[in-house]
Amino acid sequence: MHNPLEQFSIKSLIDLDVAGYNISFTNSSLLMLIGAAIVALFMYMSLRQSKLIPGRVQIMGEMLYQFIAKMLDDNVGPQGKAYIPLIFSLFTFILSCNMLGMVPYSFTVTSHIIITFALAMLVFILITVVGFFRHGLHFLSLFLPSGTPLWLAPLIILIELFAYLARPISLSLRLAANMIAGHVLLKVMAGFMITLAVFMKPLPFPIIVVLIGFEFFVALLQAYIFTILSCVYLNDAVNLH
Amino acid sequence: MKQEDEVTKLDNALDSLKENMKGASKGRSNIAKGGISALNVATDLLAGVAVGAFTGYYLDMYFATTPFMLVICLILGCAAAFRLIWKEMVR
Repeated sequence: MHNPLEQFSIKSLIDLDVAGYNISFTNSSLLMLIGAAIVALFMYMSLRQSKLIPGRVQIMGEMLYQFIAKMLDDNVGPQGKAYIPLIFSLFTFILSCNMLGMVPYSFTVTSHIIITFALAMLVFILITVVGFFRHGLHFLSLFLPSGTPLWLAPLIILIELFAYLARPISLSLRLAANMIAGHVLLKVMAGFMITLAVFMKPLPFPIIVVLIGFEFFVALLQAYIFTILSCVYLNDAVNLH
Repeated sequence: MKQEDEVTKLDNALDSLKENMKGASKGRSNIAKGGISALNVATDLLAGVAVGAFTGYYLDMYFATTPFMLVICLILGCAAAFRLIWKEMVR
């Protein structure tokens, strides 16, 4: 039976070596490029001939923008307008990478922790820097919720500090684990189709169809969860408490 | 005149109803809305404990006070993980 983890192996397409560092162009890079190009092409097509009464593609592009703008407005308030490009790029990049992973024989970019960790660290460092620039050292009052008794304060500060540091790890790990689990499950079920056909007849086949549908939903949901958690953390930094 | 009073009364009633409806849908917790699954809770738990373990281990290497810092930071990491999960569920 095929190894279910082999689908996550990185194959380099063009080998490049700069000063001892391996920066070859891999299948992961190719799919990230394709994902970004698809998003850019879609937005270009939707805004190409923008009319007052929009055509179909323009409606979809505007709906996507409105979705992100509403999400930021709900979570951060009117000051969230400055972060719409960041959250929009994050959401569309993760969504397109997840969806490209559902194409047969393709490679799921976001199943590697290093990629989701890079995205989560980007969000985390940006939020910390924004918090310090907006509020100065008063930003550290985030770690002490109002109304805690003084004798409990050091413990609460330590716990809040650890929870704050655990955010990028949980953000990245959630996305990577969901992608890995979904695709491994699909591979194992597909293996069952061949090896257990004597016992279960064609039963794995509808199971695989249902699982693929569920995987599409999980791809969309995980992109949404990553984005909305970034908005919630942004709200913590922009409006303290 | 009477019709305008009626219209403003209806408008006020509509606005207050909309406010109530908005509050009702926001009152449901995240679990009821179906935004969390068990895998998300598990990754939050793992992330909190992992952060606690890493900080504890490296503080031990720095201060050479094995294994007190590791134990303390593990417990703090557990508490932080619970706090993350709590915040996620109540949101």
